[in-house]
Amino acid sequence: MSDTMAERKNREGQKKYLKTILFSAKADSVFVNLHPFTKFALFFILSIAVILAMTKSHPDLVFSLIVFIVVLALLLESGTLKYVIKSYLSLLFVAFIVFLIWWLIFNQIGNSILFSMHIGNYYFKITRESLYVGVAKVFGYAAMAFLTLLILMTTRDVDIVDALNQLKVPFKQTFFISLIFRSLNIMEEDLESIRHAQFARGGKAAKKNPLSRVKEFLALSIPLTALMIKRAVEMGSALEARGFSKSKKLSEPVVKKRIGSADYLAIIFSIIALYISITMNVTNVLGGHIWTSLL
Amino acid sequence: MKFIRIFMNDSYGNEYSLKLFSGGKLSTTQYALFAIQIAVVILLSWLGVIATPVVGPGIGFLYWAYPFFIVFTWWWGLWGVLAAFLGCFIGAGLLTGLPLIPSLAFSIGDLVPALLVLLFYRGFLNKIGVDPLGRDITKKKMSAFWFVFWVMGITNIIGGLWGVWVLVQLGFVPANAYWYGAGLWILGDAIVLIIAPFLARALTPIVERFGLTTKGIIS
Repeated sequence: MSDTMAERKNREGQKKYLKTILFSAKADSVFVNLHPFTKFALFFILSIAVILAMTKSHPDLVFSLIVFIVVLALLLESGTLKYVIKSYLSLLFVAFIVFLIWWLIFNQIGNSILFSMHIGNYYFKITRESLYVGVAKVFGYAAMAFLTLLILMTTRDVDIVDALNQLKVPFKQTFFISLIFRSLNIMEEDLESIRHAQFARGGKAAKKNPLSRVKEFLALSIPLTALMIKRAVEMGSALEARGFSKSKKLSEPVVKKRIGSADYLAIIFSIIALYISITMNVTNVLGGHIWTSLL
Repeated sequence: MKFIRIFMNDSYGNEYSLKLFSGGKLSTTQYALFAIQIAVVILLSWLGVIATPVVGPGIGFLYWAYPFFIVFTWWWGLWGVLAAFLGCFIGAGLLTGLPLIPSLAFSIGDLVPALLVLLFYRGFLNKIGVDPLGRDITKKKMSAFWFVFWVMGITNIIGGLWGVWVLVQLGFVPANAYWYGAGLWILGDAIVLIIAPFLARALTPIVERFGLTTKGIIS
């Protein structure tokens, strides 16, 4: 999750990239500078819209595809698409393939057979209908997966703290949440250090047998937990030395985000998308039955 | 009724109970610790999904965070339950690209088992002589039985059935694949839970020595 790009600056000494929850994003991106409330609303409303599109009796492939393309464009605009490709593409690709295989195996619908075979007593077929449903589900899932990554890759922990302050969440709760996000990177580095130390002492790389992997993980888990307790004790002392228990509020953030016209546009876009998803099936409106017969 | 009276009875011989605030005010170290343990569970949940084989839509086979949040629940009561919920919601959900609503619904599948473990260990099992911090699982047959029956069995099955049911309702898993998906989920979690008793036996004395366990379920 840590990245040196976060430190990159231009000639005027301004940061070109900002460190976010996952990796970093362009500092001057429109999407990155949206208010966290807007991003949350967009995330929530679009997720509902895509789930509705996916769970229709005839899943709305075109709607999911449009959301997917919009999200890809926003990933590009925010400078985060490269991180998705470098770090998540192989993981997501496997997930999408597994997704499609499950829908082809366990959703034996339709009569227009494209492929069939017998495996013992089991008759397996791929039909136009089952393939369509599988592809529509994959695009729906892909749209939501990329949307989630977009939100995480363009939001800073400071934004969350700022948003919680604006919501008048008490200081200790806000600080607790910010501590969770800040500890993520620290504990990830600790976990890596333990793994490297174990390899240096002759520890073996991951084995395929699940029980061997459990045994290997046990060797990792005890130092990790012990280190976690040590960190907490150190952090507790440091907080107390700075008068934490007597503090009443967090220091004011340097830059406060305000809701602007881009925020309103994003909210309007998501509400329109939800309305479309509830009231119509875009694929059918554009002649989806004909496409299925072309498969 | 007798069972309910035993379950709800607060007058245990053991110092750990189902009272909310047995230990008084939280120390700053505990405050930092609870935030860090949530971060650890989030991290392990994330690794459990991205670094282990994906056997179905939204179903990673070896979910490494599971034994951790069980042990953290034994030690830190509701804070461990919170870690189970947030770990699944953020680590296995949002950080792996699972959308907001599925992630929220899906994480109930970790919250409920952790909560049931907390209630049973601090309540009924504590009353019948089983260590509420899980230190005796590798030593006493009765404790081992309850660990296998309650933690690896009942609560794990409830979590698995719920988690895959949510995925079916949201259109991620085909309805016909429900039992297959739930079976893989439950089996994978049962395998990784093997490390929980060892973790509890090795580290509980350290946590207790630092005075970091919660006697009640919040402090």
